[in-house]
Amino acid sequence: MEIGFEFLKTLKNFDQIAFFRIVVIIVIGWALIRLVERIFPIVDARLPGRFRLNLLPWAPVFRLLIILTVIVSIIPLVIKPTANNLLIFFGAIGIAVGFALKEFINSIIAGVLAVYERPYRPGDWVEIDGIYGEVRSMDLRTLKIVTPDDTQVLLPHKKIWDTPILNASSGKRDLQCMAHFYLDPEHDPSVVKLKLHDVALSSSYVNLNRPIVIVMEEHPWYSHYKIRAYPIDGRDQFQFITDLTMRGKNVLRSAGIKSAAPCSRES
Amino acid sequence: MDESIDELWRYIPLKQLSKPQAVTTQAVQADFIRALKDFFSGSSDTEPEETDMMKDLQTVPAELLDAIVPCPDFAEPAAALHSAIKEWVEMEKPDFRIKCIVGRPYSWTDKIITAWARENEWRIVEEPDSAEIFSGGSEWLAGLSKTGTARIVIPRLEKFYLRHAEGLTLIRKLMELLWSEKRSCLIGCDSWAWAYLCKVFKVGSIFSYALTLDAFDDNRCKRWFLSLSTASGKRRLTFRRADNHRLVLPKPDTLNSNGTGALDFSLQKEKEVPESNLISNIAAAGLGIPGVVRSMWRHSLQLLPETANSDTDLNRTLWVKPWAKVMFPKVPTPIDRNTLFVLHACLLHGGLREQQLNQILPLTENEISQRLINLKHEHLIELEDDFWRVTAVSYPWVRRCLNNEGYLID
Repeated sequence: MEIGFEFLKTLKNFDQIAFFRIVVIIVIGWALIRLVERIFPIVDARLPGRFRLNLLPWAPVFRLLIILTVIVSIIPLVIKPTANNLLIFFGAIGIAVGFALKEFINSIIAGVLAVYERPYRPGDWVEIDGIYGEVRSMDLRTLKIVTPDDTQVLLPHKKIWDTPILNASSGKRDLQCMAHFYLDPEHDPSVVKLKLHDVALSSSYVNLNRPIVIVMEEHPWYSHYKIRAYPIDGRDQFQFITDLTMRGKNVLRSAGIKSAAPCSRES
Repeated sequence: MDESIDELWRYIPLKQLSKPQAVTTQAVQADFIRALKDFFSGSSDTEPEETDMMKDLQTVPAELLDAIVPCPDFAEPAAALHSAIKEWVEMEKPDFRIKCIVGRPYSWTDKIITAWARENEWRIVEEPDSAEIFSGGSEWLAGLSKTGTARIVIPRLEKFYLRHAEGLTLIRKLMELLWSEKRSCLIGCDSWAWAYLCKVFKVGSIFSYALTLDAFDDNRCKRWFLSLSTASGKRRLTFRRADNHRLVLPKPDTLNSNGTGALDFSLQKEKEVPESNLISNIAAAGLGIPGVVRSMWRHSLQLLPETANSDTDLNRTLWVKPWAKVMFPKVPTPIDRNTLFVLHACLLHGGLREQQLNQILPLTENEISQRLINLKHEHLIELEDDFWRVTAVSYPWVRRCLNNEGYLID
């Protein structure tokens, strides 16, 4: 009760509060946020691919700055801006909101931290709680992920507190992809390695400025090869893997290298 | 006098190649205008104003253009190449038996090397066809081995591979064969193919002493354009800017010859000093590649209609568009991935047949045909001897676009 009275004392008299100005500031802030949300994707679509991911991550930063500016502009219009009053004001707001909207505030604070720490950024390919997709946008409370089957998933930022965030691209445009080949163990590994390397080198999707690595694992009944390579654009990862797999199978077949028989694989 | 003035064509180590820089604000302005246009896909009102005379100017007929800016005689660059490799050619046992000449697109490397080989009687190796490349080329390579110890020239190494999982074997075997043999070999390779082959078998580190044609800077471009226009010896052409009527190239009759037939600007007696900015911009935009700057120069020239022009056919004025007014083929923005695949493939192979594009790209025949038609319509590619190639005039923009999109460039 005591803090409630103290809080009320910090407020200006009702007739001293410039409600019209507050409404104007909120409307301007809202309009600016909408503008950022509209402009950034438009500009992004027009930029060359190489610069795409340089711009998108700034959208949440701009949004946060606008929100902070709006709050800082409104507070002096509502309370008498002394240090004591500000402490009481934020203390009271913190206690009230903390109890009533704990989860909501939790996500918002995590969202602010996500802008600073960047566990994910718009354009990144992430996996959170088993959901894999591209981060399309970051709102104050949630991030929007679009999965490869075009399903939109909204996840609260508070996941960053206790859930592993698997980020495949981390602000880069490309990400490592893997194509798997399970072969009958009777073959010359050096031939397979060269053939698979050529498959990756000759893919139109591949980023030739990134390494191409062929990895082999020997199992009791089959040999497992992996092509590790990067597509030019992470958005092409599935077409890239398909291209590698299709052409790899064709090349190996024409070289007389057999796939492992299904019955011989490990269960 | 500076010796470099005499050398229009000069071969330098690949690592020393530097591109000419634009020296004026015009280039920045023109680039900015084009960037704005690209971004908003509309027109900008910041272009220089068009004078009445500029509105009357017409495109120069192709026959006249061919006479004013003809394809160069390759004997001169072949002689420059010879002086660059003379020491290597005359060595009985050179340290490295293989010499590589890396040429950027439209620097006519294959034609120059072929001219050199004919002059010096070196055997020119014929290119394998697609079927031989896909089969690994064992028979083709056996045929090459049979030629014995004759010194050989491969003018276009880019035609010895296809970017396909089974299209790299022949070039690998060819390199192994050339390394194992004891005869000398001069190889010409397109710079895009070179960049790709550096990824395939580190060709760049094996042939680190490769040579390339030095870039045509503004000084070279001026001398070259003037010498091309006076090649027939009869014409007295004057090149003036269409907007301010200033001379762009010096008048040939006001220059002295330095005794070798080459034009020497240091001996210029003329009072009307030509402005240098426009040619500098062409040299910079054309990346100093002779075929590209020649194409841009052709693109910039205009003529007044015959009725309005009192000059005779042999003594006429050609009007050069201001740089910001020259409209080059535009790479569409945003550009789709499949179109980039087609452009990149054409550059990596120095031109491809449609059938070869079908073999190497992960696209259907219909998709490829559609892209080719669209790109031809945009003047970004052209069909030459059944091969689709990026046009010379659009090459710098296509290159920039591929670079911006993250593709491997030269």
